[in-house]
Amino acid sequence: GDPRPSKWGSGCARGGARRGGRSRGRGRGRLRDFSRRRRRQGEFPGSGHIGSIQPQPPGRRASRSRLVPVAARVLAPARPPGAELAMAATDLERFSNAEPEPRSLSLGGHVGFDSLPDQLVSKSVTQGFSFNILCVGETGIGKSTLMNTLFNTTFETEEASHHEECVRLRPQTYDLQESNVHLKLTIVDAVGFGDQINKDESYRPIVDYIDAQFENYLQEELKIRRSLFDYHDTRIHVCLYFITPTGHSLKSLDLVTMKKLDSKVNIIPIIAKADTISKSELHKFKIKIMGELVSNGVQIYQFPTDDEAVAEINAVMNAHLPFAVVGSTEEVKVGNKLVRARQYPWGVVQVENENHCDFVKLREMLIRVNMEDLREQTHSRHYELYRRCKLEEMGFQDSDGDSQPFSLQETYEAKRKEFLSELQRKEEEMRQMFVNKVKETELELKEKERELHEKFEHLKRVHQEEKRKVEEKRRELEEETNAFNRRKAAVEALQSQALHATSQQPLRKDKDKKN
Amino acid sequence: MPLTCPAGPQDIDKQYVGFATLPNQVHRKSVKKGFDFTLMVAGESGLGKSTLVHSLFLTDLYKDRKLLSAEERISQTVEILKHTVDIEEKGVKLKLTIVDTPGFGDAVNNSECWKPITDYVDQQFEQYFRDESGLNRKNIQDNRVHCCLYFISPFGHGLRPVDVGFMKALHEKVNIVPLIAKADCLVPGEIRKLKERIREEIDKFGIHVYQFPECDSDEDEDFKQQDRELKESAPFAVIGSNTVVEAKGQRVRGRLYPWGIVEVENQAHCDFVKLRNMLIRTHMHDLKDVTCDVHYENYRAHCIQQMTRCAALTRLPHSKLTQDSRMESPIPILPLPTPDAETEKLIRMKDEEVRR
Repeated sequence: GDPRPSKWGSGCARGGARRGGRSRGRGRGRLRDFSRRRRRQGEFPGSGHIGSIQPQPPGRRASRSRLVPVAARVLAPARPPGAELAMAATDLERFSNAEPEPRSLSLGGHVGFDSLPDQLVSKSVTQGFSFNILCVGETGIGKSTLMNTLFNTTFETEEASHHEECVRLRPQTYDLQESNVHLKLTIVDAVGFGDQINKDESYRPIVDYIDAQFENYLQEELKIRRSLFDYHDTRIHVCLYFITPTGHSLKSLDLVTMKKLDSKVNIIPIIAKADTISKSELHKFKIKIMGELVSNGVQIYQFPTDDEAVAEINAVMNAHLPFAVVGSTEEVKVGNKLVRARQYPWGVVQVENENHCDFVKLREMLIRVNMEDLREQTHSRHYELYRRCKLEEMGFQDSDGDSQPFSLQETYEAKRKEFLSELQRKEEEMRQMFVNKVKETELELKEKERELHEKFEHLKRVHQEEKRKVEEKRRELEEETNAFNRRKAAVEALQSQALHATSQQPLRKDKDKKN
Repeated sequence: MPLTCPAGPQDIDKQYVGFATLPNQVHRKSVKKGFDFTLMVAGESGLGKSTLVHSLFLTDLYKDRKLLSAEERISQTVEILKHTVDIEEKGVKLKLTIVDTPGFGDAVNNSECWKPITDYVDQQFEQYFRDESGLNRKNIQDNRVHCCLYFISPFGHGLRPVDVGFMKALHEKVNIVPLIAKADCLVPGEIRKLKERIREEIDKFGIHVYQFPECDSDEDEDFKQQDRELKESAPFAVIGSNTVVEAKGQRVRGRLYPWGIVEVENQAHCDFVKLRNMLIRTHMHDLKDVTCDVHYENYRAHCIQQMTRCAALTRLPHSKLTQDSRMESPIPILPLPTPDAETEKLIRMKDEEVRR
């Protein structure tokens, strides 16, 4: 094209030789960055778009190369000689703040980045895929048989008993390979579900398990040294909910459980053992079930209809939910072929016959078409919801009062400081408490000591008192004995005198008589 | 060896007493009186109970039934519903009462969900006990439950805790006949395995289900063979249907599937015929007898014992039957009108008897 005279004066930067021929549509390789759109506030005068066939705002010169990163353009604006200087300063400001939407350009030849998806695919194939299925349903409803039928192999699972105390989850991981694609399949079984007499808490172990897998992933994400590329993702990608074929409606337990799970995992409800319901009953049953789910606000997984390639088939399948399936690993001869079927006295139910059951539909949807979407939904919807709730719980926010974006790091640092100061305070408190306690105990001990001392004194005094008394008594006793001895001596002396006297008397008497 | 009258034409006339016609007389009288039978059906919702009852008695008892939605059933309680119909066949009248137990096992928390049912059975016994001991016994109504069909889910591996709980609570009060419901979801091999498993578990948990009586040794081989088969196929694996479909040019009662037609009355497909024969054609009266002679008597003895015990504790230490102590007698505690002397004597006699 030829340079057209622009409105802004002759000295304006040329829009570049390609201005006229620039495509504004979806060229291959156009860089789209919708997140910047929010920030764009329409600062360029009179222009709504950037990158359309409209006069370029002043102060910008398109470079001659075809694909120019936005940053380079922003950094090197040429100032046209006659441009309004008044605008120049503001323009510069605006450039550094807002990144304009990239223009789309068309290519003159084959560059080759159309192989990007292939590169991605080959990378994923070498890495291998992981897929985690959770099976919830009553014991004996056919969960293990269906898994065997779906994956055309025999996962060794032992028959569960009906008399488990409570629901527990049993994950088992298998490595499967088909062509050159490796799949790490984890099947989680809810053992004992629906058997207990009181099923109020049946849903809890399941919810806890799902949350635990999210938590593990979150922890890995928040690590300083993390290796997400080879982390074994154990988050549940899909929950197959097995509905008992009563023919009436959902069971109360089903409703309660699905309500608890619908915000945490993609739920695909299936009608198990569907060879016990006739066609007309099945139609009514499906309508009843979907009606109950809708009226109770249970969100089950909808096959995505935004991807043109699969939108149509997905929409059709969405109308067939819940799938009525029959599982079997036994083979029966029908016609001249061996097919997987169940042999009854009145006929043969063929698993892969679309007339007999929806097994083929389930396999298509679950494995062949939407497996990747299930993984993506788990990551981008359920996991993000969990993460947000968890972090908000911990006190993180996306922005503080001034609407300045908080970075996770800053918040983390702040939290850490808070935590440490809290710790310190607690330590101080404890130390204080300890010191106080010691003081108290000391006082107590002193008190006790004093008391003991007093007692000792008291006893000593008492002892002295006693001793004194005893001494007195002893002296008294001594005196008494002395007195007694003296008296005794005196009496003896008297006696001897008396004796002597009497012995002399008879002599005198005789004398008198003689006279 | 019972005495037989010697044969001989004139002898027959002279020596024929004629009590050989007794069975005919009994037959005539019973036809005139009519029969009654109370059947209880129990099991979780959706196992085909009403359909089976319909197939058994070929009448629709549940015309305006309202099924609850899942949300309403979360904390549902068990109700007892009685449907009574009078049906007649070849001049024989049958007053059939079906006792339904909607809500059993449907709530999220089913602790003691069988209590309303045991209470109901006990109530009927108590009612009969009072009536029997009452003064005017002409028109006693027998509402006691003669048989309980318990539906076991075929989707599991055997008995569940709620099944065991129910059967243990009721096996001493009513004849329990366990059935495997919706048997059209099981291939023959699976049916065999499940029946064995259930029989084992019934033994293991000590549940006393209704036992078919032994047949006498002088019955013919055919009958004995039938009896043997009957015993070996318990618990019966049944399928019910209230629609008639066309199969092999005939109209049969059955279920139509894309892969075949299940005939309810085909012995190779299910045990419905065995159940019907047992329940209606051969063992109905035996079920009533066992209820009267065993379960009711157990209840009565238990009741009387309890009353005697209470009375013994509160009785004053004298054995003379005074006005007061009569109130504590083992006869059901009803506000009795003052009886006349004869009845009083009778009461005294009975009291003595019991105490002994």
